[in-house]
Amino acid sequence: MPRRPNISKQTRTALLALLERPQDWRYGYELMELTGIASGTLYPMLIRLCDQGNLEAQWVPSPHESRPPRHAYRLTPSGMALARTIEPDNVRIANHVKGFAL
Amino acid sequence: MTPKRNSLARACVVLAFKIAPPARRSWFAAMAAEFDHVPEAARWRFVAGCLFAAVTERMISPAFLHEVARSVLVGGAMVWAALNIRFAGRMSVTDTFALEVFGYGTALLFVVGAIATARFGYRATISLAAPLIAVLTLAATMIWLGLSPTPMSKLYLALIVEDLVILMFALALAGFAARLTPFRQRLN
Repeated sequence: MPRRPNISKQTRTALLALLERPQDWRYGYELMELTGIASGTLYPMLIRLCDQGNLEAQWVPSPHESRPPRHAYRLTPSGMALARTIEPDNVRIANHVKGFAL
Repeated sequence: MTPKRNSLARACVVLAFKIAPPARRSWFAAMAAEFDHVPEAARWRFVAGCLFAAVTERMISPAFLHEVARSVLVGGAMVWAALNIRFAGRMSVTDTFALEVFGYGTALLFVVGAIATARFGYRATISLAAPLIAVLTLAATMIWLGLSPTPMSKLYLALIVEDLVILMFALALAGFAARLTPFRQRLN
């Protein structure tokens, strides 16, 4: 029997949120709103996902002229493969899952 | 949010950037950039998360953990050496020369261990502690079995057991810290 990847519920929520539009670059605050995960939990999680090669990040210019560029994220092919192994029934996206950290 | 509160929140984001380990600074720069795009009502919560993440990342960064582990090993060895010198000093007024030598000898070994750990790292701790544990265990066994009858053998045994406990703790800590980086990479 294949072993299921050992990832936290919040990571699964974030992965599924990113999988909704896998080609689009998503911003940190956008992901916070979409998943309900707080910044203190979300960013360390994004760091880990990036370290593991499941996420790519880049700076993109802000659409608002006066505002600084933003860091944006999207899944890599391995991240997409990982996200597709998650059963969506177990994870509810949007404001139900709150991070422990603020 | 008033301009004053806003600038205070921004200062906290900058503080988070400074707290974060150097290897992770780009992520905290990303958080700082995102701050301008967070609605004002949610900014303090966002800032609190930034600070929490910065402190957490700092505390679990291998460099910080290595620093703590090495400080505990070096500091602990120096404290133990000082206690042994104090013990040897007390023994010097009771005419128990062997115990005095034992105390100063132990202190010297721990000072050497502390210096070697500070200079060469965990490998030095492990290389020094492991053979010393073997020798002390042998000595303790001999005293325990009565193979080397000495006056105050129970005191010697107690002193050796104390040293063994300290050395085993140091060995375990050095071994754990040396394996920390690969372990950290497995965390999700």
